Amino acid sequence: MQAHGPWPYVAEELLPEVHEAWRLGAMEAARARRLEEDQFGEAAVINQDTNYEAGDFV
Amino acid sequence: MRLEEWEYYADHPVYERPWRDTRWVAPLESMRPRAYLPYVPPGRNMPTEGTREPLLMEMIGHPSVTVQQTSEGNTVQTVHLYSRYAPYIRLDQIRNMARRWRQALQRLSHGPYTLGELRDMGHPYGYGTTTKISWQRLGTPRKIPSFGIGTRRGARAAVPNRAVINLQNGKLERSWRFSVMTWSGGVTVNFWNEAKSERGSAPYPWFL
Repeated sequence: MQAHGPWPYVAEELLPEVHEAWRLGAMEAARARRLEEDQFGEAAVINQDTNYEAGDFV
Repeated sequence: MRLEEWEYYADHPVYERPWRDTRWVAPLESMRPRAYLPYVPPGRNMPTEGTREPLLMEMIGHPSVTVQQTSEGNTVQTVHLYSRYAPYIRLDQIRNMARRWRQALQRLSHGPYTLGELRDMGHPYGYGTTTKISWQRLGTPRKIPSFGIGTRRGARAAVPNRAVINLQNGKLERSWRFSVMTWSGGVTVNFWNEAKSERGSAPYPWFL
């Protein structure tokens, strides 16, 4: 149990903003992903991911 | 016991419940409200790895933040952010926030009191002298005394904010670091301090 120090203090101050930024980023990413899937199909997007993860940068 | 009672209980064990009763009357100790659990599609198992609180520090309200000590002796505060879209998320905003977080840690590391002043104030950051052993005493820090007319000789003085660390040689203030790491299931933001004491290399950020 912590008595004092900045560790919990800064977390209480800034964590809500971090979560807000993270949620917004995830929402935009999910939207972009869905757009790609609608346009090119799910298989194409998954194939693209697999190539990317294998190091096949086009 | 009467014979008819005996026969009745033999056919009707007390631990049986009516077939309609499929729910607990009151939540048991380990039960959590459904609203706090992640969504799991029907037919799949609940994920076993969850948030954990390794050292039971005062982070209960934020189970996604942990403070741990590494093998090098550095104290690391970790912020876990999870998303299945993590590889596609732009991290500019998260990096900005991490920078602000580090600045806040630095800003809280240059308090004005010298060691002599703290001694004269009766060590306001200290723990009380009790019969408990030191690591148990960490759980019950001495209360900050209030200002009032009853200020007696020898009473411990108060500091406005005990989250502030007082600047002595500036080593701790210079030693704050952070990193933002992406992995397939999320982003991990680490903040740590590399300061060690000159004699014996004690990791004093851990003792805060």
